[in-house]
Amino acid sequence: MPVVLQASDNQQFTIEKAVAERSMLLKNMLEDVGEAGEPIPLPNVAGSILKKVIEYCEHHKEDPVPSAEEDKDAFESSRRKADDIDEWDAQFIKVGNEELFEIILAANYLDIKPLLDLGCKTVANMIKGKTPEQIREMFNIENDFTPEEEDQIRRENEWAADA
Amino acid sequence: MKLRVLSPTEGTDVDPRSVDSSELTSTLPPPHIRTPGEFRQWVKSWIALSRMWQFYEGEIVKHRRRHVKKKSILSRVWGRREKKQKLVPHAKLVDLPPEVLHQIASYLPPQDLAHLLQTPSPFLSRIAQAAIARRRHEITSLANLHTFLAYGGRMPLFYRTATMILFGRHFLRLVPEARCLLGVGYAVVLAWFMVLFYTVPFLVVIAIYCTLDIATLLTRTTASLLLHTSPIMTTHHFPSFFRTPPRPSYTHTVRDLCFTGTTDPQSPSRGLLNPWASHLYLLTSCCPNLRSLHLVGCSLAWWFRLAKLDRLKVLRLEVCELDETGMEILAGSCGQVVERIVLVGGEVRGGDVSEEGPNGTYVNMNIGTQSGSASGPVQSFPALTHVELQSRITVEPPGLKLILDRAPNLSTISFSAECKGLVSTFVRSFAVEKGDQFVVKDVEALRNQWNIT
Repeated sequence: MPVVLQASDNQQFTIEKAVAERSMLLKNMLEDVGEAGEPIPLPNVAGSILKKVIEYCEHHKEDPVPSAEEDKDAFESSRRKADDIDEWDAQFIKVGNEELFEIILAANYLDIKPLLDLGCKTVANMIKGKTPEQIREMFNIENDFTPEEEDQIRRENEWAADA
Repeated sequence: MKLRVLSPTEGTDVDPRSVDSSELTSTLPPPHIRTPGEFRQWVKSWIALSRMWQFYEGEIVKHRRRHVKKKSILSRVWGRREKKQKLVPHAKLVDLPPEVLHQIASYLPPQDLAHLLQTPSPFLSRIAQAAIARRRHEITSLANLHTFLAYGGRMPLFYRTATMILFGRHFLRLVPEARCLLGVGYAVVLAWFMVLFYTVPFLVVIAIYCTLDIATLLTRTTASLLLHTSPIMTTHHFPSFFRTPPRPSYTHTVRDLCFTGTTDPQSPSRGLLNPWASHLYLLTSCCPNLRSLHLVGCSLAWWFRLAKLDRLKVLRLEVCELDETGMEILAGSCGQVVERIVLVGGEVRGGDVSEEGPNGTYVNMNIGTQSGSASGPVQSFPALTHVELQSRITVEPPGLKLILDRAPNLSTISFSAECKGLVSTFVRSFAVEKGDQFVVKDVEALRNQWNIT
């Protein structure tokens, strides 16, 4: 039985149930609601991003779904192994920053742990070896010091002016 | 008089490496007019001065070019600036949910977490702090130690001198202890011996250390002045040594630390000039927020080098030596909130043990009271509730009493079956066997046996 997903821009995608069940959110939804045949609205995911997510899920549809405990153990063991990325996954995730963050947000929303891990590892690899200025530039980090913090920095340096 | 200066919040969002210097100076925003009072208040900071300098330099460049292609340059620069400032929607790391950012941070090595701490985003900084705090830091070589301290950035001033003063203070305590244990005559002889043979070397060493500390202070002050009198945007061109590290520093965020001070895991390292021991003060003073400290291979001579750790909750000592003085120092430096002490291997040296009385009870034990009365009140662990003695630790009832004396709220003592010094004595009768452990729940009964309370 195919499942129809509707993105935020009203694009519709028809996928196999096995593919949809890679997402814990959709799996639980399908179990609870049943297969009504109506499109499942995903207001937080744009069509282009949903297409990428579906591509990932279709490629990994045969992979075993880890249980919560196994998943936790696997995550703990793979901690600090950000370079441990499958070749296909590495090619798949070679996208721009904007798209990468959108994929991560979609994976988080749809509860697709392997895709979320992949996105997080990719971002971690991008951060590795960069200086604070490079990180700031790469990820458009604005200078969000509050006026109080600015003031504190100024006060901390007043001793130099008085000297 | 009205002076034109830049607003403190402006002009910091362009990376100087992305444009050449002439373009950089021209990217400054239009000036803001301040009243003389506002200006005087604002100009007190060196940040303001540095920005003024930057603005001044920009004005010079602009003045030189005023008659040459003025219009075209400005339009190009302003166009570029607007393009640079434009942020792509959703392309920001800080927009990701905290749980995702925590996961990303968990994949990062310490060096990158340190860099993340330095980004101007307090949100990302807090994420990095949480990742550092969750992570256990193990220091097992001097190279690791130096790297770790380099992350610390804000090393304490006069740490060498402070270490020597701590050493001198605890060395002087030997005299009243000698008076208690051996008599006044021995104490006088010891005091004279120390005056004759130790005073000069001590003063020489402390003078050398003080000189080194003053040199460090001057270097750091100069570096700080250099930093703050230069344009802020070019500070990253300084070598890392000259940078004043931003807040919070890496080591201030560390909560869980393991420090191995010996190459042989079976025996503690000895000697006052041991390079490990000499770093213990520096290490512990760089990590004031530790919640859990695991020290491996500390001999008796190490303890006076421990800095104050006001928030330590779990103390794990592996293959370490402890005696009454060591216990006093531990209680004094980190005893206020410690809830759990785990001793693995090593030795706890108790006081004088005269003989074993009937029913296996010890009588005439001179522990923790004589020297305590001689050198001030006994330091205690008011929050200590659990003591674990694991592996083949050498501890006998007097050693245990040393701990009991200082832990009024102790509720559980557990010791392993390998701890022969306790298993073969009356302490065993107060314990319940749980697997290969013996657990004493009724600590008060044990105290009464010793007539402590």
